This record gives sequence, C-alpha cells and structure tokens, in this order.
Amino acid sequence: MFTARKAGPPRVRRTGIVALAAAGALAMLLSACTTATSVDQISESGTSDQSSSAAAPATSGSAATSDAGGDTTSGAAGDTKTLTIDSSFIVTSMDPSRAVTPTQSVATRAMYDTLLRTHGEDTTPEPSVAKSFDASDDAKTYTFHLRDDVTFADGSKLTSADVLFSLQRLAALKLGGSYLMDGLTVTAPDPATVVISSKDPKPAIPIIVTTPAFAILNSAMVKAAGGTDAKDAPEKDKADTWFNSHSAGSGPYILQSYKTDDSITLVRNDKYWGEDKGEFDRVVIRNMTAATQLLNVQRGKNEIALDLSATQSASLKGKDGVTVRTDPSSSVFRVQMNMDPKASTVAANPHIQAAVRYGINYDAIVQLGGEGAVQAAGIVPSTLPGALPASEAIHQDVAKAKAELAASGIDKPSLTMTYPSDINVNGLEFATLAQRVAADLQAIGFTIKLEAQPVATYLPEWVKGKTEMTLTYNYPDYMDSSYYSSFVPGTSSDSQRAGWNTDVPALSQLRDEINSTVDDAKRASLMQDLQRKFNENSPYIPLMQTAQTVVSTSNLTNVVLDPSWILDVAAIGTK
Amino acid sequence: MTQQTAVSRPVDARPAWHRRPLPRFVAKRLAASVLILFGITVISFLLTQAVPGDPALANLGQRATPEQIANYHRVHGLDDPLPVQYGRYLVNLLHGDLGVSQQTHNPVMADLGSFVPATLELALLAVVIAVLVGVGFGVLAALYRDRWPDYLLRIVSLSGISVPVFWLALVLLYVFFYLWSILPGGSRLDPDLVPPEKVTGMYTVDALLHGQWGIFGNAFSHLILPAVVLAASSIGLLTRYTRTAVLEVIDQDYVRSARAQGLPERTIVFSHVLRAALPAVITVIGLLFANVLTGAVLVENIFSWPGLGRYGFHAATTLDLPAIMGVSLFVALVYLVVNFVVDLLYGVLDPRIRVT
Repeated sequence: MFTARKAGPPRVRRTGIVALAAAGALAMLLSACTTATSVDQISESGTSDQSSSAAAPATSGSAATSDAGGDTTSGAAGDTKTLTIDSSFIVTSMDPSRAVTPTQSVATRAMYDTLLRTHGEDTTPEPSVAKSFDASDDAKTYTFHLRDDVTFADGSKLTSADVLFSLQRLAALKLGGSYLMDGLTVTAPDPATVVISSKDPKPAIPIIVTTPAFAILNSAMVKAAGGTDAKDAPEKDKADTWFNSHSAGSGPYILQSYKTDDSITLVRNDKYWGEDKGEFDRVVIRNMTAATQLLNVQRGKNEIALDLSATQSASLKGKDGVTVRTDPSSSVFRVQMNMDPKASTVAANPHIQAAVRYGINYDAIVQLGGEGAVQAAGIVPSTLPGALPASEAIHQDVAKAKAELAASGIDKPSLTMTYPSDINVNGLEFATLAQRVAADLQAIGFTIKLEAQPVATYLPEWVKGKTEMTLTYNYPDYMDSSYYSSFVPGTSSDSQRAGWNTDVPALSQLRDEINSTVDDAKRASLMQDLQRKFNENSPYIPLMQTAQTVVSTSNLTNVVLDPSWILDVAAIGTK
Repeated sequence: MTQQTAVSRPVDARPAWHRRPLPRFVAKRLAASVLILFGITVISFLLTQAVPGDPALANLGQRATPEQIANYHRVHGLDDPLPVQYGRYLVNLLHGDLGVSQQTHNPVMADLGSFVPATLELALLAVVIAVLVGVGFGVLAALYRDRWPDYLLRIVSLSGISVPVFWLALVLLYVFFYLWSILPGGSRLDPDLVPPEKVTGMYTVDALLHGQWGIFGNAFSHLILPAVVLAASSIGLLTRYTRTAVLEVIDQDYVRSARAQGLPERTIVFSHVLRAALPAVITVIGLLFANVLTGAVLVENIFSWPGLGRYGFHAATTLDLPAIMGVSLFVALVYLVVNFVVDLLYGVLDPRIRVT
C-alpha cells in the first residue's frame, strides 16, 4: 500500500538549514574557544590579558581602573593626567630580576627603588633606599645603611630582608642580569643593614646596585606569588607570570596593566614614601613604530617619542609644539676581528687587523650616524669616566693600511663580515654601516663578503667565537668603565667571542689593577691605558658612538635621558 | 478500481547517520582535520628545530654566560632528544596546554586569547568593507561591461591589489591622522581611556555590551584605518572575482527570460544573478577572511595593533618555540574551519550541489 509521506519542508531546504546552523555553530565555537580560553586562563592564573585592575592589592591609585563603568571618554576621573611614552617595545618580562630591556627599564624605574640611584645624565650614585654606605679599603665589602621610612605600595615596610631576597633571587634565577651577581654575596645582619661582599675587589658595586636588575622587591608578595630565592629557583620560581599583572615595588607608580607587545599602564602610588611623587596620575608606555612615533609626537599631548632616528628628529627641529633633545648614547659600534687562527687565519693576522683599523673612513661612518654621533676613540663611550679623548681617535691612513696589508703576506685577503640584520641601534641599521666599511676595505685591496643574519641566528655563532669578522655594538650594563675590563683576554665572555682566549699578561695585570682600584679617577686613567693598548693590538676596532634622541611635546619639562634607566617618569613635569 | 503494486526497494544496511549525507560529511571532515592538525604540529616542530639559532640566547641576550645558557636548556627541556620534546608537547597539547611563551611568560593559550580577538575585530571589519565594496564594484563592473564604469572599476581593483600595504598604511596615517586629524594613529584605544571589561576581547563589542558608547566610538575610530588598509587588496580581488562570476550568469537563458517577463532589473540582479554567482564569490570571501585573520602582520606592525600577526612575528624572530607552535596550530585551524564553513554554505546557496 502506498503510504502518503507526512507533509513538511522540502528535504533540500532542511539540509540547508542544518548546514547553515552547523556552519554558524562552528564559527561561534571558534570564537568562543579563544574568549573562553582567555577567561579560563585569567581565573586560573590571574594573567593573560592583564587588563584587570588587580595590579596592587591595597593601593588603588588615583586613575581609572578597568572596572570603571559608564562612558569614560577621558578616563575615570575627568582630570586624570596621562603621560604617554611611545617606544619600540622590547619587553620580555615585567620581572626586573628576569630581564632588563630599555622599554622595561622605564617602567621599572617608576615602580621600584634601588639601594642607590642615579639622576638623569649624572651617573654618580646617590642615596635612595640606602641613606649611606661604607666601603672597605680593599673594595671587597660594601655596607649599606637603609632608611627606616621606605614602604612598599601595599604599605608594608621595606627592610634588609627584602633586599636580601631580591638580590639572592637575581643570582639564583641564572637569567639575563644574574651575571652581575657573580662573585657577590649578600647578608643582612639587621633589618636596616645590607652587606654586599665580593670575592675580588669590585669598586663598581655602588654603580652596579643602581641598575634595573637590582630593583628591590616586596619579598612577602613575591613569595606568596610563587617566587623563591633558593638555589633551585630556575625550576621552582613561578612568579614570572604574576609580574605580568602585578608590581611589588616601592616606587612612585604601580602597575595597572601590561598588555603583551602593546602597552604598559602605570598609575600613581598614593603611598609613595619619596619626594618625587610624579606629576602625572597615569603613565602609558605604548608600542609604536618609529614612523608612527614621529606622527604621534606632533599630534599628541603630554607625549614622548623615544626611538626616532637622527634623520627623523632632524625633520622636527624648529617645529612648534615639539622639543628635540639629542644626547650622546652609551652605544659604541665596533668592527671585531677574530684572534683565533682556527676560526680564521686571515682575521687573526695582526697586520690584517691593522690594515682594517687604518683602512676605514671614520668620518664617513660618523656622517652615517647623523647628528650627535661622534667617532669612538676607544670602546668606552664618552658618557663614562675612562673614555679616551677624541684627540686619540684613530684616523684613516690609506697608505699605512696598504703597507700593513702587504706586510701580512696574504695575497688578495678575503673576509666575511657578519652582522645582525633585524635590529637597529638609535635608528641606525647595521646594513648601512656594514656596506660603508666593506666599501672602504675593498678600496685598499680586501674582498669583503657581507653576511646579514637575524639576531636569533647571529648570536649563537658569535657567542661561540667562530665569527671571522663582525660588526657589532655594545651598551654597558652598568655605568662604570670597569665593565669593559671583560674585554681583556682570558676567561671573560667578551674576549671569547672574539676568539681571544690566550692570556696576555700585561693586559691581565692592567685589568686586575682596574678592578681593584677604589679611586674613581685612577681607575678611569687605567681604563684609558687599557684602551690605548687595545688600539695598538686587539680584535676591537671602535667606530662610532651614536647619539640618542628623545622628542617630546614642548609642554613637558625635565625630559632627560638616563643612561641606566632611559627615562625617569616621576621627574617629568609640565610647564 | 486499480490495484497498487508494491515496489520492493533494496534494504540499506548502513547505520542511520551514515545514510544521511550531511552527518557523514561532517564526520569525514572532522577526522581529516584531526589528521591535518597533527601533521601541522609535526611540520612546525621540525621546521623550528631546523632554524639555525638558539632560543636560549634569543631570550637571555648577548650577555648570557655559558652556565646560564646551559641552565636555560635544562629548565626548558631543550637538551632532551627531539622525539622526547615532541612527545611532551603532544601530550600537553592533548590536555589543552600549548606551553608557556618564553617571551611573554604567559601560557600560549592565554596569549592567543588576548591577541586573536584583536585580530578578529580587525579582520571582521576589513572583510565587511571588502565584501560590501568589492562585491558591489564587481556587480557594477559586470553590469556595465566594456563601458567606462567597467574600465574605471577594474583600474581601481588592480590598484588595490598592486599598492604595497605598508605604503598605503603610512599614506593614510599621514593624511587622516597627521594632516587632517580626523582619525587616530595607531593602537586600539586612546592612551587616556581604559579598555572595557573583557567579554569577547573585541573592544567595540565589549564596549557595546557594557553600554560604553564613548569607548565604542573611540575604539571604532581606531579600527577604521587599519581595516581599510587590510581591505584594500581584498577589494581588488573580490571585484575581479565577482565581475567574472556575474558575467558567467548574466547571459544565461533564465536571466533573459526574467527580463522578458518584465521583472525589475534590481530583482533580476539581486534575486537571480547575484544569487547564482554567490557560490564562487563565497569561496573567495572565505579564503580572504582566513588570509586577513592570519596575515595581518604588516598592518598590525604599522598601526601598532596588538594582534596575532605581531605576536607570531615576534615569536618567530625570538625563536619562542611554544608560541610558534601555538600560532601555527591556530592558523591551520582557521583555514580548516573556514574551508568547512564555505563548503557548507555552498550547499545552502546552490540547491544543485548535494553533500554526498
């Protein structure tokens, strides 16, 4: 019997409706997965999108939080004052003990204090958390006496236990800044005293403790977040993610939010103990390319651009509404040869090195650096005591270079010069300099092959000491010329990277004398002697010291570059 | 009286779900997707290992001592044999754990949850602009075939494809932000504004959900320039594809019949011509969406947009292996989902196509 089918919509249309529903459900699932994941991650670890206002437990700050409802078109409070700093972001962690980068330094300076501190261009250590310090005659023991009125943002008192924890954790983590603690031990005989002892004389300790890696953390907060200063800290310390949404400092600002690769937002610490409380309620450090920084600073308000090149900032000279300030940077570009014949018999030849040294047109190199760039007479920048005067800089001498080439005994010498291709220093690309150096050397008889590599692939080969010839740069981790004593051959990493592993007694003796000399002026003089010896015979050929430009809207005052911290936002004001 | 004769049909012994085409299609595609994703993890892992570089140095910096480098390798398991490293990654992946980014120190899942909505917001607006403008241009070009509107629109579409993205971005920034100050330059929100509380991660949507109209307006204004730049090349492609698809349909018999019957031209174009041309265009739209979602790195860099493109680029340059793997997987997933959705929509739009 034929049975009539139940009436209903045609099969095609039903299938279409189901297909549409399936497609929509899948699209929603994909979208929901990313959203739900982030929500789950926030509830599990309190991290990820860091737009929460859970920065500091007790202090709310005076600016808006992300819980502010309503139509906040100008921040939560109508008259919230915001300072905007545009920077080409380099932030790997908001934990000062794990990493120190230029962008992060600006935020760390605002959120944390150190035992001693520097102010602006003056690199002389001054009292901060420590009101005074004593140094032993042999420069092996430094005793710091702490103030009794320093408090963290949560109101708790800063004691020697916090300093001890912070420095021990820095050493234990064995990360970027940990090497600064090599050979140092820290003790806290009482709540107001910290003693730093060194195995060898280390007169640079007062300078070293002013650097970002030596930021003092609230030990109770960090321990509660999973931080530890024990020897197994590399495996057991779990506070790194916590620092992405919290700060544990005693500085004039606290962290409101950190959005990875996007922005760092700081709000005022109402419980700050110091005098420089900062004029701005809110500081936003934004990740912007240099081209966008150039436009923003001309259109913005209370705005600073940190990464404009000399050429870009030159276009702003004389323009209304912006202030351009150019200062010498502590970055020194150099050509580095290899002293190890096994790496390169050509590069290791002392006559070849001399030929390179006298074959380069240094004036042309400095021109490429733009306004404010100067020739580097030695590897120590002019921002530090111990730099060689400009009068001692080596100048191009083509005749001498050719004579040295002939004396090398190598016919048609060929060298491969490697350089990092994806970074720039103060707006200057390595490729530009490399091509100039290559052209100069080819004019006197060299064959130079240029090899550009991304930093990630450049560093491993360079660290091994196998690079024949390289164009590189250096920026000191602390503002004392003794930092550069690590360029002396022996066991130091800097000389190893140049394949310079054979001990040179005269240089080693000079290095030891530098490191044990307490008197700053004498130490600087010895450092100059060392550089003179380097200029006679070493793999290091200093080229140029760049200039750093900071551009700000003209209503801002006291926008001064700090060699260690880049900027001190608490010191910046308005007219 | 007529006698009905029973017609015997062969018995289909397959399970009920197997007899129906759509569930069978979905099941096959899901199985294939799992295999494809697995293959992506293998390829990504091998490629990251093949890159000459050390993640330790990329993350610790040039001052890292040999002891620090060795310690980093040990803590992150980089000393283990490759099969062990891959196996560990796969086991974690099956538990929903994509690892921790070596750069951000956040779980990669959390990072994706943060960056994907930003790119999704940008991609959605870009695709809407591209579809509205591109399809519109394509239809107009086809309707005015071989006349001056057609030539003009084809030149415009070719320009959209040819113009370098970074150049267009900088020009638009200079004109609309610097010269005329009518649109903001860079980032997702003005620095003195606080982002809305996160629901979707898309500032415009979240602001609307919370009734924060000012925030919505500001976020939308920040979205316009990067979305237009991202849409520019897509507009060019869509114009050309739409024009071709419409031209294939417009001379069909049924269209001529519709005209002969006196239907309004608008009805003919939208109800008959465009409807028939859409399947081909939908495929392109789907792929464009996937491209835009996963390839916006240049636009994101210029406009300082904290999206997936920038995250992936940064991960690649710093050899952040967990992040690289996470981004690779997500990109693969996007293409799989988009292709699947497009295939389903094909069946919806064109009744002649059966899912078999």
